[in-house]
Amino acid sequence: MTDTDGQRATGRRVTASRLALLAFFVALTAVGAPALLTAEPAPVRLAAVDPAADVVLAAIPESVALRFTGDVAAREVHVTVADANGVTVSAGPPALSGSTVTTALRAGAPGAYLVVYHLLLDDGRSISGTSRFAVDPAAPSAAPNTAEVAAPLVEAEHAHVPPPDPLNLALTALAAVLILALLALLFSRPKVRD
Amino acid sequence: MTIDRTTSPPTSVGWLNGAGHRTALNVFMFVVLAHWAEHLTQAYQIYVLGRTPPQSRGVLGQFFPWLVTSEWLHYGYALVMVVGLFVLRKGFVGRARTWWMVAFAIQFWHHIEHLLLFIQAQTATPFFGKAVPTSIAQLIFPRVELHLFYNTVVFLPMVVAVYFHLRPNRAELTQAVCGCANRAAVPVPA
Repeated sequence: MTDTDGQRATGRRVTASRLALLAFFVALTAVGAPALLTAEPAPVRLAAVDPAADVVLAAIPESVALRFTGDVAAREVHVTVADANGVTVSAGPPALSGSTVTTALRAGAPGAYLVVYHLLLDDGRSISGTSRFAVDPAAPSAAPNTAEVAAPLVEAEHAHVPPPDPLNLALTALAAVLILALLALLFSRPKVRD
Repeated sequence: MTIDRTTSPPTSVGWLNGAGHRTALNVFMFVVLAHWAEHLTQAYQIYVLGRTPPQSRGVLGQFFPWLVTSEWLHYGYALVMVVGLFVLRKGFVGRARTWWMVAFAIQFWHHIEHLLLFIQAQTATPFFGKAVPTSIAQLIFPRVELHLFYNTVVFLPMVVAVYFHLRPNRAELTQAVCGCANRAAVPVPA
């Protein structure tokens, strides 16, 4: 084999190697894109509650409304409202409409009330929690609200993802730069230096 | 300047560090890059898409969620790394060898840390009086930072080593026993 033949063979190997690397990254992107671009179903969380948590009303409302974030596809919905003596004032099964669960209430005495909810979602996850309100005839204003005329629901939340840690961000950025550098190394090889 | 390649191999190495070094190194880099792709995907899912950590499972974890929490996976990767760095070391010469061995030394300790976690997970016996498997450095630093830190500080010298390995000076190319560097660019004797 002549030197020229050898150089051509080497060149073909380099080209094949680069094509293989390119194919790898194309395949990786194809496989990884869904993970990056496809939004996972948003987690279901309580977004707002009416009556608002810890509010004091002049009279017991006609209903309690719980609004959730995410896609609320529930196979079971339970809501119970009870007074400080444990007497249940929620009447009938709760109704799920869109992302809001509404439960009618019976008349009740002044005092503290506890709202307990539990949703079993179609995907097997469950969400549960509590909220409280109180009834005091001496409280200002207050017409008892209903689900339809309720005051704007009070946003209850939620930033569960902690802010990115500076060290983690720095390390991730450094790694990204190193990855690009390594890719450049693998794809481009200059002449030998003295 | 020309180089007489017939006199250059200074030592005898096996196929892995000789004729097969280029292939083996490419495979090893494939594994390393795939691992980083997973971590960067997770970072993107958490920092950009705003997902919670349990929802941010990278690419493989998207299809095989159990992988993300598997100590077998984490220990397996640490083991592959330390073995790969060890068995491919003789193909590196000069400055590349120095940086490669730095990466190996750090990865060796990283592997010990993962081994501790693996033993605790498999025996369901947390060490150091902790409630969950804990490595030595985790006594000081939280795990995510620890894992990311180790991977980064191993990766850095590794990239430098690959840089010098694929771009050797003429003296290093003379010592090289593999075909990783672009020999086609080297003037050959008439």
